[in-house]
Amino acid sequence: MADEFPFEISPMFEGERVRKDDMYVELAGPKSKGFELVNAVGLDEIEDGKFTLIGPELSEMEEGGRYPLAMIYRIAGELVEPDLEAIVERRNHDFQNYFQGVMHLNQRYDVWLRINKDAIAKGLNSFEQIAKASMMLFKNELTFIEKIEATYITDLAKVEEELAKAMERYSARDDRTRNLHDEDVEEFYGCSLCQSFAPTSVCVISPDRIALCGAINWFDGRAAAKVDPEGPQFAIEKGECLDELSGEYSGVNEVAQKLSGGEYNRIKIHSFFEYPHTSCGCFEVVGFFLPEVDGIGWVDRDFTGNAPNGLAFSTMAGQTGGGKQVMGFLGVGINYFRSPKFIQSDGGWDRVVWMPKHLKDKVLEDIPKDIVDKVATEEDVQDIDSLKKFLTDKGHPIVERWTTEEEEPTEDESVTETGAVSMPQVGMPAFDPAMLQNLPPMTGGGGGVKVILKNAKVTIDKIILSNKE
Amino acid sequence: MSIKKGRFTIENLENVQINIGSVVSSGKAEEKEIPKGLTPAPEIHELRDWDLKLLDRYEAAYSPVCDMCCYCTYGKCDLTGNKEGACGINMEAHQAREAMLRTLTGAAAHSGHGRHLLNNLIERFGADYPIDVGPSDIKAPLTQTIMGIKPETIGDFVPVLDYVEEQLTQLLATTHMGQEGSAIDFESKALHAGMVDHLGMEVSDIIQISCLDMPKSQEDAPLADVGMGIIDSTKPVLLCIGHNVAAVTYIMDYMEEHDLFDKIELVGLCCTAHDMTRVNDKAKIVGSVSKQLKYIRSGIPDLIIVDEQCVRADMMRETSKLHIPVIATNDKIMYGLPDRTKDDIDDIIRDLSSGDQPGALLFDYEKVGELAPKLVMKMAPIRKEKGITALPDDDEFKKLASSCTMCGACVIGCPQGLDIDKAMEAAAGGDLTLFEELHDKCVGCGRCEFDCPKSIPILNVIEKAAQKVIREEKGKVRTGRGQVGDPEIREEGVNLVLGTTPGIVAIVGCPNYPDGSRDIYDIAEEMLKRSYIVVTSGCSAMDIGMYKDDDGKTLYERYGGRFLKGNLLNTGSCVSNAHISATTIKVAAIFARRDINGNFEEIADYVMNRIGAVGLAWGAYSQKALSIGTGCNRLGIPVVLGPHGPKYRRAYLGKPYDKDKWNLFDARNGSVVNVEPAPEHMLISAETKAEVLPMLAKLCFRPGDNNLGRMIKLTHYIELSEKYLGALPDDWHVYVRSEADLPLAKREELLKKLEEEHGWKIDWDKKKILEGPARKVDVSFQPTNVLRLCKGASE
Amino acid sequence: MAAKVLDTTKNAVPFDRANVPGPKIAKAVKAEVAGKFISKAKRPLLIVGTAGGDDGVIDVVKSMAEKGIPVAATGNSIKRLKEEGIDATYVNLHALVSYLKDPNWKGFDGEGGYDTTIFLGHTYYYASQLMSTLKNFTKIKIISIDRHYHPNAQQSFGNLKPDDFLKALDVVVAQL
Repeated sequence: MADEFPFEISPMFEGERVRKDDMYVELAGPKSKGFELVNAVGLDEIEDGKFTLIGPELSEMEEGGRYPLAMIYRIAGELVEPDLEAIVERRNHDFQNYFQGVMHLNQRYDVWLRINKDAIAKGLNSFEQIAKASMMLFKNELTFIEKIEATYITDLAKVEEELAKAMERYSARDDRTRNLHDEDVEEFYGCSLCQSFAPTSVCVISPDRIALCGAINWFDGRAAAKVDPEGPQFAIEKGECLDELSGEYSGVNEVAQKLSGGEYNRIKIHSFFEYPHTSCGCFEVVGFFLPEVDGIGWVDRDFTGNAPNGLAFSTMAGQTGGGKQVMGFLGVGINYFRSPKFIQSDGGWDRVVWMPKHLKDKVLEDIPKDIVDKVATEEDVQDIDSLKKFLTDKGHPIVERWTTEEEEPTEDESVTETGAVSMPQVGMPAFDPAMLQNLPPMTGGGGGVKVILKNAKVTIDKIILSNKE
Repeated sequence: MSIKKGRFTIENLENVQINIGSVVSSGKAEEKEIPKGLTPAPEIHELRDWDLKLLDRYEAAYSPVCDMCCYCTYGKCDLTGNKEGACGINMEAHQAREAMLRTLTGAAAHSGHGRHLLNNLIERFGADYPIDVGPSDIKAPLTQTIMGIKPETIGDFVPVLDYVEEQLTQLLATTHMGQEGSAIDFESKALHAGMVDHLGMEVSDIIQISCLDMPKSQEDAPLADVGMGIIDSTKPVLLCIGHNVAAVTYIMDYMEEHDLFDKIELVGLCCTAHDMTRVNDKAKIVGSVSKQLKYIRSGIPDLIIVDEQCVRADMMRETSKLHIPVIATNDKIMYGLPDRTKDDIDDIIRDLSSGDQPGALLFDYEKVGELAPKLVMKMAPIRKEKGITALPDDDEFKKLASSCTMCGACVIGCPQGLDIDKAMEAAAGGDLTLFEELHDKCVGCGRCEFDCPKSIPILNVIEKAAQKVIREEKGKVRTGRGQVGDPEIREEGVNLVLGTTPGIVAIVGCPNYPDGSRDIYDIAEEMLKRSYIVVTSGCSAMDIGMYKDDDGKTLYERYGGRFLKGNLLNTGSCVSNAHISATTIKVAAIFARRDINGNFEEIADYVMNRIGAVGLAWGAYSQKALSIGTGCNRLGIPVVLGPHGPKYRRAYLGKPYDKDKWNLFDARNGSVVNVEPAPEHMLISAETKAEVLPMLAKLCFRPGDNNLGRMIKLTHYIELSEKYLGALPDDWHVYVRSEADLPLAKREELLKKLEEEHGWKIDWDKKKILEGPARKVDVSFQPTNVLRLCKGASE
Repeated sequence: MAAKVLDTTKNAVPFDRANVPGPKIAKAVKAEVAGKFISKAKRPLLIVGTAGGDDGVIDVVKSMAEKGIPVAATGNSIKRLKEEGIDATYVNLHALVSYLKDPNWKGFDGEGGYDTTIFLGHTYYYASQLMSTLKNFTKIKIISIDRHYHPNAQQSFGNLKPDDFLKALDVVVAQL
């Protein structure tokens, strides 16, 4: 229990830094070797709580010295599987930072630790204490771990030997992550943590679509659902795949209906225009539709200027979020740009026409080579006209979508011309005429569509009467 | 099937309601914005339902300062024991009335300042001057929520202040004899006054941020120097005191044009100082209102410019003794001085520098701008040659200290009850340490001097004794950044949801601290270390910047200024407090897409149930502090005061033991859910720093907390209670809804306690709680107090 | 040694000069009288402020607790009290006076409200202000055995020197 350790354990020590002058020892880090690894093994392979040290003990180390350190944890449990290893492993960093006097940086083979002299003075003299405290926290939080064992290695030769094995493990994991796609799994995961602030917000997390806050990926969701299946992160049975391109699944739709409180009942997870995935408000980037070029632009939180449509991030961001599906705007996390299914329903990167330079630089490697120079930034264009010219000059695929402009509808036509329209059943907020220009253009003439407005409330701010000249 | 651009026919309209706003002939240019929302520009009674809900849960508790009422000539009436006076009012209602009057006074101070600024800025910049507060879409959250309009230019605020002023007049009218008779409705009016105060403050700060080029949601606003020790007294010292920076901007403009910043030390006291640094980073801050009399007595200022609020009433008596001329620039403070607005600058300078006149009123700010630098440069050599100071020299000091008879009258006269006599005794014996310690705890009021039978000028003695300490009073405060920007809130959303940020603590307000200024530094540091967001303003912002760590760094240098976990933000002056409450509105708008326009009740309900924010006005002394606190309360934000707090006469206290008071609705279906007391109180006080720290953590709990948030909040509540009160809090288990709420490091230990001490049932295999909590966790629970916001329910 | 009889009724002026609440103010009482009054209370409650943990005073708190008087520890007094093994419950003073006013509050032991409150060890102006709540809105008896004169109590000592204060407390305890 927490009392048995010579150091305090609290999230308030997370940001604690140990400087060179204050450190008793440095472990692993850029000038030495080390790594941290979690392996999933069978229940009968380990003894719960066992600690093994290979190499010099902490009390044997010289003050001010630097030593290699490998931390290997083996976990077992009925619900434990290799896919959970990375999740558990990442927690080592958080937990060890909770220990007063211990600083833990980075992960995997980049780990870097320092132990404060004060911690030694207070009684920290063995790696066993650190390992046992870590194991206690692992079991407390990740209750699917039924047994856990730790082996710490401070002998250089042994560290190097195990490091080679660890590298293979990491590599295999990366391959799995890279090669795991929506179609490979039976379950997605839902996350409703944001509902404490955004009541109807639910994220659907699939291998190709990570939560837009960036904090939770499919593996994280899986781990959390195992800890508490009735908790805020839960499995969503995919069900029937209704449309592969846009990413629509019957199981997802069922959940959407329930958890959004009836706000919406369909989600196409890789679509921009139709039944898009919702966001709470913390998205890093907002996508916006530019009807003049039939393309999609993206602007991120840190960009302080205006997009080619003359609007700033905050203004456009204000149009979406709050757990509502809004046409013409989409909030995403930066990592969605890296997904192989990035808005594939609407043409993926071929539909992207503009993004700020610093954002483009961040995701440069993930932009297909044939399009990367054709996406404009604020350095290339400042408004719609210059954007049109740029896209034409560069031969952007979007140009092929441009047809001749339809006639403007005449006055006695659509109610949509004159003011705010709110359609409660579809769950969309009232939007002003400017937004209606962002609707995708209609092809073909009239007469083919029948529209019935039921229970609609039409609010007209002003009617201007004038004599027909 | 999808709808695209083109032509289509509507075949049928069923149950369609068409609301027409206005019908005008074309050509009429009228472009007035129509207020939107449920309660735009609400009158006194329009939000009363909400007030009654608040007051039902947080009972108004009265602690009368005076047992009598002296409002009318039937009195004075004795109301002791809740008797009635001649007009029929009882003690309870009278106290509510008194508290409402203080709230109203505070609201009037801020709003009067706002109107004065608005008139001045419209004159200088034009009513069409656009509002610019930084990269936000929601530029004026309080205005939108209360008025239902979205202002774009400073002129758009004129009707806002019209509304404010009407409310103030109506509310003041209710303090007349024979008006409201019931305490609960006086409270509702007080809450209304508080709300109006926040509106007035928002207007004041937004217009000055926009027009005077102040930082606009700028997280890396420059650091300003603060403290009595930073002033170069060899130069002419131009001291500006008050809250209204309008006149001072002219002085700063003139000084810029004539390159005078190297030649003159331009310093400020109180919020004017904050706003000066926001306009021009060459200005310096002496400190808070506690430093006013001390700084004047030091004799260092060569000229004093006053505007309004928190300025010493004995300014003229004090300054004329020291040959410091005073220019008053606002008709709220005129001191019986002659109005020389129309006079020639040179004539005024001659009269003031010769000592013929102690001061002047000057309402022409262009003149003030030119006169002040000229006058101070003339005064400085005259005064410095004479070496004018009120402080005794070493011999005089010894004589004064020795003349003390230890009668203790000064201790009785001191608001903090400081042991002045003991310090005097020690000083007479040559030991200055007691005075050095006392100096910071002394709020510079001067009451002790009036009580001393030996007429010892005690404040002078304290200041002289503490000279060494004063010379080292050098701090840094981050210049007031104004609002929190929309993008920052979006970024911080993740932390609030994942519990990485345990809450927001706003350490604001006046410096009437019970035990010196170090308390709020310690509180800020403790909360920052725990990754709370700490927001500050006004006098508190200055004092927080006066202490340094072992490396000589102030908190502002050690922590960033972004709206992010573990950051320290200074919004600015007292009127910048509006941005703190406004931030909670932005969260509702951005994350929950609530329509904030004219929708106060729904937004306050959202804030109270979900946003873990608490205000701390540790040294609150003024009426403004009460109005700011009361305005926060109406919006659902709890506030804690220091031990002088009960002198405001009224608190809003919850009853954690009465389960019936803690029922909420689940907006998903209108069902009633009984929740843990969170926040436990709305307006309360604490005696010491050690008591208040765990209280702040507890007041960040909210019914809407998810597991991660609750776990982190509970961790800090328990840790702070153990650290400062030496024990686990008695009610920690009340806030546990499931095992996932339990602090990670202590999970097993706490599960054991739940079983052994509270009889809860635990599944030890799965480490799960089977029975015990008052309610289960459901992150989709949509807590609300307002029935009409529930699906399927009708009020 | 013949001890000078301690007169705790002297200097009965408010310790804050202007803290004169109204026509009804506390009677200055001798220590013996205070002690007897407390011993007659049916449901007394000793309310201790942060200074209740000070040397000398804390022993008195301990004695009173041992005599069966429930102790409400306000401010941060609970820390010292617990260190001394005194059975006390933490409560915020502002909240406490409000609870005391509520007929539905069942007290710390669940047996009901209190009829007598005894104040000791508080920041002067803080306690004085909050006693006013009890004085005006309840029938609860208020006795201050603190070092300074509390006009809002019904019975109080006058302003005492520190030594006299501790002596007076000993006399009070002796009566219980």
